[in-house]
Amino acid sequence: MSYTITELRASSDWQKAVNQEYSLGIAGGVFDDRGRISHSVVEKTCKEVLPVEYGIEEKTITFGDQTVYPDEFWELLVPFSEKKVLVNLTSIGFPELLLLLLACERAEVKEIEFLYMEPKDYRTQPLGSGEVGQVYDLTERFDRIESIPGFIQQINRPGTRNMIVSFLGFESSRLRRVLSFEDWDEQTTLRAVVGSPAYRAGWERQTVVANLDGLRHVEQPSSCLRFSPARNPYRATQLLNLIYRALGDRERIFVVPFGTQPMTLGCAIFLAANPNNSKISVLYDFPKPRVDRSTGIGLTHCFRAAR
Amino acid sequence: MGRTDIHLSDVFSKNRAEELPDDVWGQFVIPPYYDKLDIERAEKTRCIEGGRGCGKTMLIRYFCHPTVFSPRREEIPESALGNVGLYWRPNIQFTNMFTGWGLSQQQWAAAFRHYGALLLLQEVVAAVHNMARSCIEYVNEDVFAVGTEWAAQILPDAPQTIGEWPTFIEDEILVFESWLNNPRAKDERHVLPGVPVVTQFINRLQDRYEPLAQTKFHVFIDEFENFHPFQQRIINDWIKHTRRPLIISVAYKRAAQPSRETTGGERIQERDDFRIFDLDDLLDDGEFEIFAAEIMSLRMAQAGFDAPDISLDLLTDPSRVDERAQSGYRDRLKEFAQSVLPGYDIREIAAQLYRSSAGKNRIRRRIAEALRRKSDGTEYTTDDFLGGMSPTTALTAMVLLARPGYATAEQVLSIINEKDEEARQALKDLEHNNLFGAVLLIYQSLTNRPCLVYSGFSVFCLLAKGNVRHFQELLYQSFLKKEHADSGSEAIESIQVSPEHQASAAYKAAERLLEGIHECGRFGHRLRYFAKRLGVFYQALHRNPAQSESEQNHFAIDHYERLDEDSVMILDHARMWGILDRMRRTKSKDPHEPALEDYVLNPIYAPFFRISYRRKRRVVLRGEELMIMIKGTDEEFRRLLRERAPFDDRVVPIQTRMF
Repeated sequence: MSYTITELRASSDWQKAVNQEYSLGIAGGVFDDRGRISHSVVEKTCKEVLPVEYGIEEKTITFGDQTVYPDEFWELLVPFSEKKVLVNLTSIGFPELLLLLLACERAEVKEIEFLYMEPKDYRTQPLGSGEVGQVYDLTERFDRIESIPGFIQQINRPGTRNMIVSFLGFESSRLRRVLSFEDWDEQTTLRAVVGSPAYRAGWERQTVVANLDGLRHVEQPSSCLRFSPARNPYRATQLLNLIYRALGDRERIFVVPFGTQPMTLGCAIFLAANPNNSKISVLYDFPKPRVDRSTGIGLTHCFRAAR
Repeated sequence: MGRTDIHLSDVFSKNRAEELPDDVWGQFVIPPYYDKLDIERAEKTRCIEGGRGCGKTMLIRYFCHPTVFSPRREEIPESALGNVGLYWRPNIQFTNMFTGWGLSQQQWAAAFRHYGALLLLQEVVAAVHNMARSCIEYVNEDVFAVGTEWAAQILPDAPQTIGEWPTFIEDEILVFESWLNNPRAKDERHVLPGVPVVTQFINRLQDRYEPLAQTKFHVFIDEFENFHPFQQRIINDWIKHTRRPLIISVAYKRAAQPSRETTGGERIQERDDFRIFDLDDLLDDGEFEIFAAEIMSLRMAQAGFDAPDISLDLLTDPSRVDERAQSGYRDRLKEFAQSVLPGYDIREIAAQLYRSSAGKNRIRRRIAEALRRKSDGTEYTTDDFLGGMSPTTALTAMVLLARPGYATAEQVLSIINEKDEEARQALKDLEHNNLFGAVLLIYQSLTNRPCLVYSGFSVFCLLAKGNVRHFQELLYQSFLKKEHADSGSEAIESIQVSPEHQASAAYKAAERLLEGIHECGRFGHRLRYFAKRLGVFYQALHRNPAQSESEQNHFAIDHYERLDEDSVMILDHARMWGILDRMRRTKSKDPHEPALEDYVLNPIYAPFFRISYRRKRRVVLRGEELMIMIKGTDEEFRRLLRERAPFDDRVVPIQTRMF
């Protein structure tokens, strides 16, 4: 039985968004104002707070002070199956989020809430010659692009047509790197998803402008832009389900979650509902976020997911 | 004239081999160095090296079964069965997953051997199917009935006949994928020991099917550098023992430095174990011009445009390479290419600049500023240096006036007015040495005008520097510019692209390729940053009003040992991705200077920064200065610019964007 988003709460006052106490808080890294503040909220509202981190080389999950492999992660969550769990979506990475959802499902954790604080603004860098729009400076470095355990598949599979479903972010290099893989053939199509409405008016345009070169890459007539609200994980999951259900027999999707954190949560929920599915894979580039990648706090959200 | 319903830009938009199908029959132009390759006869490994865009993959695809047994071929000789190419390029995002889960290196090595065996078996079987479906008379569909019951010894569910193997291998690969997603789960696979099983398969096939009895299967492992080091060592094991009927060859980027070690700690050796073909070395500048003209002409002819002496048969037939070496043919080809992409001599560009009011104003202002700094400057006006002089001489005077070595304006005037034969020759030499830099200096402040220095077929070839991909990008952008300009015209008069359009196109191509550095592996965004900073640095050096060290566009490193590991890694990656080329020093002014190598920025980026594409003068960077370029802060980089390129921009302000 998979998770689905059952409630969305948002407020400029975090105490109205996060209105209860939890047995377990799960945290990622702290990189900026909202990371620091959201972490303190988690500490205030949760009895116990455990960090989670995915080890890309060893394929391990470190949860608190324990390191396990993805297939045994669920055992650590069994004690919380009937308890209230809060995940700090603001700072958790995508691999951690996905593996956590898979483990929670297996451990039959009934309900999980996700805290997310929007930024006021993102860090930019001075424009270079010929650059248009804004150039965002959010990442210190990227790692190699690969999949996540449970979703590993070869790109070139004879007789199979690939569709890349990429949620777009502000950094132009990310989509370009994925599209530059020489294994995509001329039959590969692209569904590029822009967060719209965005957190701030005009940020949708920034997203498109940042990804223009990447978007030109795939010239198949059936490639297109799609839109999904930047703040709404439920709609992101819905969109993916729609695309998946419309796939032909020999078609397959590669989910590329480079969009906002709420959209990334929507991707993770969709993927966690479809593990070991030969028609669904995922690609990720494991960015190391830059310190102070964003400033200030916008709205605070709390998303409830239940089985 | 040719067809007007086809856009030439479309013809050149697909410029990567990977965007073309596996079957490149009829599309592969035999390169001029083809006869120097012995790939078909090879009984040992061949290592094919070459920069990005040199044509490695296209060359390999030409030898592989989808092309050799292409359905487009009307006739396939029996000799095609002598050497059948199989292609393997790593699915990097997949092969990178062979790590972790608490498995030992031996276990991962076994997994890789199994995976490699599956892929190669898949290729062998696909090759056999292609042969059977092609027009070759020696192999037909009876091959599908060849029995493979013996394979049950190594794979219990193996099918009984060759015809059933494609589906079986696909299923086995899916089983392997499933295992890779959780290697700790109960493993019921039968693990294949790698290449030996493929050799066995081929041997059995050859025993049972006589037409294939003498066939050599030649595996080409492309992008070898993208395998994990432990995977490279396993492949080196296969190379060490390579022999008929299965030969293993590899291809990799120049400067990639792949491992030569085996799993047993030995090293494979050149000559004993492999032979290297460096495709960049095999194709010199002169040959590349002809090759580029041929590719351009072929594509245009295929699109229905007139192109001289060009036929598909000529360019795709390996036995006619000598015919293409004849001077009459080459001259006509070059003439055609130059007619489509005409350019200007540097003197003509200087003249055009001089005739334009914007250009002349820039020259005048520089002369005026230089006169202000001369002790006798007040005695002269700019007209003394502009009136009645040729554009070339005026530009030369402009840079000489800015040189402190000429203390007075009178000195400069006397040089350019000299009537003596020897002095006239000296002036000619000065003009020759300084004109290019002087023209670029003026163009740097005319950013709204296309810089005509970057136009002309020969210049395009120099910008592309052996990279067919870059050359086609220049063509694509040029024809696109022309099409936009012509759109709305009822009739297109000619396929010639004006130098102005070419120059704009060169800028656009450079911009696009600079942005494309993002895609260059994990460090793409850092490489792009570094490339842009280098470009801005050279741009600043080019703004020296005196042009005393003009056209500085490559660097040597002093105190290389001061570079940290991270910076060395970025330098190596920059070379591997063709952003920098490391070359032996051509000459040094100081005979006592230790031997150093030059790092040359790829000339394709020159139009973006309006710097020289010629390899003229180097700048020596200290290790710590280079590190600032690679990863210093903006403030550190600005300080470096002020120290190394302190040229006063108040004369003609130019915005320097920081990267």
